[in-house]
Amino acid sequence: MTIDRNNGKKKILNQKARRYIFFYSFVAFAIVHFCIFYIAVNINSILLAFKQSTRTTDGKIVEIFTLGNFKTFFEDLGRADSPLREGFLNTLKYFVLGMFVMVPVSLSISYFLYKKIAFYKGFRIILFLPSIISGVVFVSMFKLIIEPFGLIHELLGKIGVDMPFLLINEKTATPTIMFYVFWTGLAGNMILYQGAMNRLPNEVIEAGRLDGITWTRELWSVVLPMIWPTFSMTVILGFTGLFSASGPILLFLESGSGVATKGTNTLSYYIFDLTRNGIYYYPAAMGIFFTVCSLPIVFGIRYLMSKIDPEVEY
Amino acid sequence: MDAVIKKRKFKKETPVRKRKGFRIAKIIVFALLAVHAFSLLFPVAWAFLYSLKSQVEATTGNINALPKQWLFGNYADAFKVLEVVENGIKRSMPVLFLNSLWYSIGAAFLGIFVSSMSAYAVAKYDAPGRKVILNVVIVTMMIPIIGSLPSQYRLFSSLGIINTPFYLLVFAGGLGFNFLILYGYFRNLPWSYAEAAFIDGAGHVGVFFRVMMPQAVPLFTALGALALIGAWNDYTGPLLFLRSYPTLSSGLYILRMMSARVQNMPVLYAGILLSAVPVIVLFAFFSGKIMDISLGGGLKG
Repeated sequence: MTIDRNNGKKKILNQKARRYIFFYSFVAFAIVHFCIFYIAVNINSILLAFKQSTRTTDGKIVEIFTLGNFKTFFEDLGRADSPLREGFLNTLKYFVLGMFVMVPVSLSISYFLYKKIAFYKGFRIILFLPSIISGVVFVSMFKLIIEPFGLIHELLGKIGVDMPFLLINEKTATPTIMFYVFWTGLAGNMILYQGAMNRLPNEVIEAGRLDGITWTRELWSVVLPMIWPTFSMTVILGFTGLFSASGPILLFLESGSGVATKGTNTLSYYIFDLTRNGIYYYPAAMGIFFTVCSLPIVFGIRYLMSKIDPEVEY
Repeated sequence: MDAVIKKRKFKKETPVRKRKGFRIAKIIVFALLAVHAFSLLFPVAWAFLYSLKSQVEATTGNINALPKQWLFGNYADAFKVLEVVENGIKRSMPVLFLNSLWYSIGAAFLGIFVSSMSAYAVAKYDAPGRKVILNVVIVTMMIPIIGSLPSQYRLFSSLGIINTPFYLLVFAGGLGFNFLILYGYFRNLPWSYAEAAFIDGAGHVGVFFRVMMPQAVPLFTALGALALIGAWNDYTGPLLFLRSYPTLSSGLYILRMMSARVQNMPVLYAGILLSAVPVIVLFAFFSGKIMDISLGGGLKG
């Protein structure tokens, strides 16, 4: 009996070739998409940041390479009354709200829902409503109630309280929108935290309960370490959005809405507004600067999260 | 002896005290969540009552009073009267609704389908470049890209996809958040099912579509529902990139910008509330599956 080794080798090579063909054909579209909509977009963004358009002597509009966008950027950042500076400071406020208030609150709410407090299924759906209903709908309803001569205004008037016009006053407009973000965004990371908590082995939780640990100790020393990959990912993604943090400024700033146009700016809204008005170079430069500033922060946080990682296996 | 008994009694009481403490915490949290839930539902109810008023009552009467006449017909009027005018072309609510349908279904389908293909291949097949793809996905998710909107606008313009349904290609990225979730899921699926299918003569593509995909249907459903809800509610994308195809979200935003003097506000609010009905129904059906989405498997890789 002879064993045809060559045929066997050919068969293995064919199988390998088929596997490789399958693999590369299945990832090809995703890779091409990534090259166009991520790599090309970002390379173009860097180029735009160093360009400006100018008119030549014969009337043609050409693009020239210049550092002028960054010069304007630093001048604007240094001016107290510039929309860029206002946007930068407001963005930091939204970030602090999101990261240091809403993340812990969201985690705590997820924990109590995981512990099945009364009506937990109903709360899950109701808390998530602002995430599933369009911002157009929710902002409209919010403004209907808090606007001048709205319901809250009238109710407070009946008890002799003169409610300020929160959205018109530039000092209270941003805190009001921040309140809206907090009020509607509590369920932000709830899905991920709930998904991770639902996978915790019951035996571990039971063992803790039998040992008589408090709920705070259970949350801090048992649940949080076990959902660390999910939690740290949400923290890292939160820091990734450091300079994108914002509220639905566009929805609040409809024309004729009576909302203060000054005092409500954020970096995201400012970039969006410049882009829809056909200004591309300056916001691209802004974006490059803040991207470069974010990188060490995000990678630093990632390093910190991995250092703290309790590496619980289950 | 009495001191020993007292000491033992004290030790037994501690777990009871701790459970009591948790019960109090649960009551407090329940009360706070109940107030918060009421505060979220109340504006919906209030907007509903407002949408039942007449235009005269809404603009000249007490807007905070209950409707004098309960005009449920405002909801039918929303379909007939509300129109978005763009470049001289009028688009009514049914058109906005249709635009929302193809935009959200197209975006959800393309995103999930392309991600499932790339996630499955990377999870189950060992080929050169596999780890590079995985690392690129994780690293790029953490790179904060700010201010790419101008570049996107210019690139999309030069690709000719602005103001065309081809804009949906933007959502066909296979290396994002959905990739991570699906990668974790496929990684945990036993390969034995595929081996059995190979023995029966199935090819790689057949195994993917007939063995693996059916097992991932619950996850596809959850991710698809989330993607659909996100696309349905998206207003900035259609505002910037699909001006000729206003969706319910972007169209109602444009209508909200119009003065109350020219707009029947109760009918507008009826339209706004109607636009939320499909996503509420969708979420109500799939909330359980959506809540079970987990990042864990995808992260460890």
